[in-house]
This record gives sequence, C-alpha cells and structure tokens, in this order.
Amino acid sequence: MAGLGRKHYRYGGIFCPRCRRLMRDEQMRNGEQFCPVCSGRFEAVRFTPVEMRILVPEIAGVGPGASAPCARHARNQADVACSRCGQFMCSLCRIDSDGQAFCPGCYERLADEGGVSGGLTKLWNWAGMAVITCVLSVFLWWTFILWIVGIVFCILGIREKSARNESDGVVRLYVLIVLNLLCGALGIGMAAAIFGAFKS
Amino acid sequence: MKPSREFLGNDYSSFVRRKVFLLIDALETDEYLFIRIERTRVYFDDVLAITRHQQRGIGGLVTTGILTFLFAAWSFGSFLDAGTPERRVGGFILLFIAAIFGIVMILRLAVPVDIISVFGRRTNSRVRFWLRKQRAQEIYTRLIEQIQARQQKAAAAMPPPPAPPEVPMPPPPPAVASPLPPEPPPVAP
Repeated sequence: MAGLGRKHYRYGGIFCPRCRRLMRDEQMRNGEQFCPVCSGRFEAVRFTPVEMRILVPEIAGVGPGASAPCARHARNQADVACSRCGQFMCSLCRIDSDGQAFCPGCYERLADEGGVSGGLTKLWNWAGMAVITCVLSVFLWWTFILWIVGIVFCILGIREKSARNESDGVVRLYVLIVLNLLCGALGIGMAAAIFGAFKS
Repeated sequence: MKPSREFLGNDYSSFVRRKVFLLIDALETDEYLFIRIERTRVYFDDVLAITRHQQRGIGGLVTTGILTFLFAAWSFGSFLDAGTPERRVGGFILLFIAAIFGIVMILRLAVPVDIISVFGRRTNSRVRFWLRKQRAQEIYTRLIEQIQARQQKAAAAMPPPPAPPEVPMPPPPPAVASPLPPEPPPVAP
C-alpha cells in the first residue's frame, strides 16, 4: 500500500529539471541554459565537489609507544576514540554523526535504535495515522477505541519530535488530538442517543 | 532550544508529498508514503549543481479546469431547472464553488511555479514555490552561498596528498672481468 502510484526514479546524476532526461557533465554549465532534448530553459550553478581523501598514518611511522593502534586495523594509528564505546579507531573506521565520532559497530546499533538523527531513513508517519483513525472513528463510532488510538499516535509523534528536536508538524499533532477527542465525543453522543432512544 | 532544521518548502507530485528542510550541512527531504516517512539527505559536500526554473503544472491546470467546468455546468443545470428558491440557492452555491476553482486555474495560468532543484552525487532534492517568488529567490541565493562555503571548507580541510615513498634504486651491476677473451676488432676488407 505504501508508495501507491509512486514513480520510482533511479537517481543517476544530473538531469534536466524539466524533462528529467539525464544530462552529461559537460552539458551543465553556469548561468541560463537550454536542455538539448526538451529545449526547456533553466538557470543553473555548477559545483565541483572535492573527492574525499583520507590520510591513514601507519603505526610503524611513529612507533608503538607514541600512538595507540586502531582496534580493527592493527597497523593503523588511532585517530580518535568512539564516543559510545571508547574503542580506538583510525580514520578509515571513524563515522562522524551529530557532532560525534562513532565506530562502525556502534553507529550501526545506534542507527537501528534511532539514536543518531543522521542514520534515520525510515520513520512512522504518526500524523498520517492519526488522520486515518480520526476519519475511521467517525464512520466506525461504535468501536469506541479508534479515537483513543489516534490520540496515542499523536502523543507518540510529539514525543518523537521532541526527542529529535524537530519543531515542524507539532501544532498539527495537537490539532489532531483535539479532532480525535471531538470524534470520540461524537461517538459517545451517538451511543447515548441510541441507548436513550431504546430506554424511552 | 533552537530547532535542528528549518522548513524550506514542499514538493508535490501526483501521489507523493515531500517536505524539504535545511540543516547546517545538508538538505533533508521527508517523503510521506501513507503511514511511513522516507528520509533522504543531500549533503552540501556532495552537491554537483543547483538549478532554478519556472513551470505551469499541466496536471493542476487540467484538474482545476475540469472541476470548474463540472461545477459550472451543474450550477447552470440547477438554474435552468430552478422551480423552487432552494434550487436557485443551490445553483448559487455550486456557481461559487466553480468560481473558486476557476480563480485557482487562472492564478495557476498567470503565476508559474518556481522550482529549485539540488543535484548531489547520490541523491537529489527539489522545492516548489508558487506565490512566494521573493522567498524562492532568497532560498536559491542562500543555498548557493552555503554550498560554496561548505565545499571551500571541505577543500581546505583536505589533507595534502602523501608524498610518494622513496624507493631505493637497485645497485649497479658489479664490474666483473669477463672470462671470455675480448672479441677481436672487425677487420676491414
């Protein structure tokens, strides 16, 4: 269900922003230009990012007394200690995220647990789920539970947002709590009206 | 406490909604897929190009056009068949809805959407601005400045290439006296 009707574009480098045809590197230049395929006009700025070069000094260069070896690569000099486990690691092992340096094992674990914001690629859409429960609780009002589930989703969303220090979408979650409460009240009112009708 | 990211804008396609945020060193895109969110980043270190163009969304134009036509036809139908004042009121309400869609269609025709696309080595991101042209220009300039600053910083922080190791040349072959007698010089004919 996820990704219904979604076009999957395999990103293969720079493409024309109008027709999405791939462009060769030399075709893109600074300033105003035309796509050779669709003749669409656009403005562009070209950059030449530097290739990352990592210097890995070997322990043989300084001697074992002067520097500690990397825990994974015994021949390499340790550059820094892991912020989580304290293991020494060389520049090859070091992963910088959220202003800290982690070893590959710790980074993998933290990314799985959602402990590093840089490692998060898939999240729950709490607001979306709260909207669904809100709509369903109107039609299935006799279930009496959907609006509560919706409020729980909103609270989880707010907690996640505050844990990640994200302020966007928080107001929407509070509005959804109010809407779910209203749907709950509507359901209870309907039930009361029906039971009242039976009693009379 | 300062939020970790700043909202830049949205990118809509037929079924998918994306929100684009600005981080210190990257653009972050949240793609909303029903109950999941897929998050991707374009790091400024990796940006190859940034583009800006204007376009009028054909899909939006067609949709608003069809809705305008449908509601207008329905309201005229109500007016033609207006036997009671209630039907006439209904016709006015339908005409009002048709007018709203018509205004949106005219606005879409008159004001094109500004689209900023950022292409990285592995990922890309795009933001749409419809009515806020000033903000589009401001964000385009700001992104260019930030990307340039970040790439210059990365280039400056890059360690110098290591010097090639000095390989000692092999020693010259020792001058050993040949056991064979030297060849006689060629005799001229």
